[in-house]
Amino acid sequence: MKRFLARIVKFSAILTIPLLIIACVYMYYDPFRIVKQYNDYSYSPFTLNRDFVSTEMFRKNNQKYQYNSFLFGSSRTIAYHLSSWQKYLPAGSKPYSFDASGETFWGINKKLKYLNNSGAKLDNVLIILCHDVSFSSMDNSKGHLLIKSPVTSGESALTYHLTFFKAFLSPLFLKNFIVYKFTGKYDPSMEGYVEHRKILYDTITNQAKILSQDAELAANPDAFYNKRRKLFYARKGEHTDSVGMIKKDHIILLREVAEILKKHHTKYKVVISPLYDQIKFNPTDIKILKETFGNNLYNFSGSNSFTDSYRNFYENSHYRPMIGDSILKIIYK
Amino acid sequence: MLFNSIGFAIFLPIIFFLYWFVFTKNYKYQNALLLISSYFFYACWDWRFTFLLVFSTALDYYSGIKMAEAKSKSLKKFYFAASIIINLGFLATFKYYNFFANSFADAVSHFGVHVSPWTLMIILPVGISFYTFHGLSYVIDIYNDKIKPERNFIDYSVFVSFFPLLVAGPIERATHLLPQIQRERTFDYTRAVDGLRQILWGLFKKVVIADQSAGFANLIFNNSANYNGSAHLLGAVFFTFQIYCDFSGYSDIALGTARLFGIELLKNFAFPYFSRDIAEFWRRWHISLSTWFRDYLYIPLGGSKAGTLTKVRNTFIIFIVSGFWHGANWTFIMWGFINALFIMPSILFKTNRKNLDTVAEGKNLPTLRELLSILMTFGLTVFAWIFFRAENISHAFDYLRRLFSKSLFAVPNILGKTSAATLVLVICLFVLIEWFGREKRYAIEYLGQKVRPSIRWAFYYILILMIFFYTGEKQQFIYFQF
Repeated sequence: MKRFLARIVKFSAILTIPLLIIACVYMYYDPFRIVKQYNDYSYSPFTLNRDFVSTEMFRKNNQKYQYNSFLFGSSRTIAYHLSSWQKYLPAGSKPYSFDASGETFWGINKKLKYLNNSGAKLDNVLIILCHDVSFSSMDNSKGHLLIKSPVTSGESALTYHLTFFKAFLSPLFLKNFIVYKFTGKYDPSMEGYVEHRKILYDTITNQAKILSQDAELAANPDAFYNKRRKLFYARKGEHTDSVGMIKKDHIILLREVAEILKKHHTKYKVVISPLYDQIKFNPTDIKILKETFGNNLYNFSGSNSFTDSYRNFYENSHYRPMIGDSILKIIYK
Repeated sequence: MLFNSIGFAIFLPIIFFLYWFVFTKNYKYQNALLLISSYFFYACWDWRFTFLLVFSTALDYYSGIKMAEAKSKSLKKFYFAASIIINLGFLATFKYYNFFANSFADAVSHFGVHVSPWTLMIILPVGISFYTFHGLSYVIDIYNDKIKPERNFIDYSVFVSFFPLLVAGPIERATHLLPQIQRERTFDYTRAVDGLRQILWGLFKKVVIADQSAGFANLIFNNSANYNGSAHLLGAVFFTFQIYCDFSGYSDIALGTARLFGIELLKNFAFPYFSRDIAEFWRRWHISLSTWFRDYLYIPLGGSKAGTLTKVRNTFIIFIVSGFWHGANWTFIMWGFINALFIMPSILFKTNRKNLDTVAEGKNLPTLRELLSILMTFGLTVFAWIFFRAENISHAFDYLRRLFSKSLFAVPNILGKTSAATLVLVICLFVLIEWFGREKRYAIEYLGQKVRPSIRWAFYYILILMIFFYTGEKQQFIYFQF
């Protein structure tokens, strides 16, 4: 037995000592801004976990600003400016963008439960759904950019932090991190690891704005789209997913969300995004959503005036604020 | 508690320490520790279902004793029937009730009668199919006078609920496991190291191959309309590796963990994807379940000793029941039916026991004939797995229609081609390692016998780092739902 234990200790030590040294470097630099405390997450040189930013900003600021209106959804919520939304809300509303990258309905459910349990006011809610991500999983998202904060998910904080540490340890990230730290310069080969876009997170509303992208588009729209021509692939026209995405467990999540909204007498709208791929939301799924949200559901998926022109999109995934504005006008008519 | 969780990484060393350092002097104390830790392990899912486990265990324990003590054959039969009916009743209620209710409503709707089925909002207790089958084999063996009933309730409970096998097998037999529980166990360095090695290999299969394959397989199966034929083929192949590495990975961890406690469990997998025909595949896939069905269903039905027609009927029954055992869905039944069809030629031409040995035994490479047989068998299993994975029968046919289209020969239009290509490469390396270890109990067993320690340790570190990098949020094992 002694021999066995000695071997285990020796074997483990060889592996853990170098890992501990790297862990110290990671905590010192904190590239994903999850170890230390920050008041402003804007202009990070490395891509951040948007869910973490949203959750932390809420925790820091809610007492001061007393938010009562919440926008939920993925990065596509960038099309919904809170200043535009506020025009349709009662006076004195305090909107907050509680979005997350690749947000799933599981994530929205957890956030609403968290708000409900922490005594937040839920006077107005706007939920943005998409056919490709909202019901793509039934549990926490994978990867350091998508995993949900343990504050809302209720899952292990240790696992959460390990996810980020592993992302840091990834050889490609580590290489780009070291080169960037030494040179301070962005190189196109660093895309996906080093954030070259200037992203502003409003320190009050948490609204994300990609300033560099908006400036480029405003300066010369033709040049903007010519540069991204390849991204706008030829589409197949309107079609529908063969299999519904909403599973039995999703229905439970939907019911829980509806219950919370009902309990708070929330004025809410659920929007299905108009996407470049023109895939129509599955009819069975629509039926389930209708049963849950009734007339508060608005479906803009498929082929329509919002999705026909590629100029309504930044690239093949995110639609522009002018579309968001038009949708708000329709749903609050 | 999942094997691939931090909780288990803490739980296992604690139990190991208590087992060998605190309770080492008396195997009865060790058994009590195993029982308590097994119930704790099970309660981590849902403590309420531990009562069901206790009831099921107590039922079979007392049925066994009562059968042995019964003074008349009819009384023995009564206890036997009561145990079987209650055991299967639980299984039917928790696992199949909603399926039958919905299927009945669907069936009568074809005749214009519309009924709203009264379905139950019930959770499937994890591992119920496994521990019920444990109990059933014990009761049937006593009824057939093959074994004597176990009088020690703790020993019997450990047999049913020993935590490595509790939730997804292997489905043990009393003749194999009970004698090990009833005797003293001594620590064996070689066996413990071997156990750790098998756990490591199982974790690698689960976290690196199964979970990564699942990502792509789920994406393609769930969004069928967006992908071309070759992507569908890739999705089916990824699922084929997902299910194998998920389940055999679990079995490796279970066997390795049991070995740490000085207990040998039944082998559950024997490199099934190197099979040369479907009959061989079924001798190598989920062995503990296949042999269970053989001994307790196929043989009592007449087995292969009766005429050809009976043999054909029995084969269909056993495969369809096996499919149904996996879950209350027509897709599983169809999967069983397809496998029965695949095995039929070898049953009819009596070639089902042709390949009893390991392919290319003692050689590095197979012959061309063997290679073609392996590839063909693999292709058939990939085809059958499509039905197993699909949401429903129409989804499966829709998937096949999209797979066998002109775009089968185009480049797969999946996102993350680099990750997919990396995964394919990792799978190829994995297949290679499995190939060279195919004559052992598990693929890397030979590392402990032939390879220099420095190389061996380097290999272990690579595996650990890959597990570390690939592990995301802990993923449920597929077979837990069965």
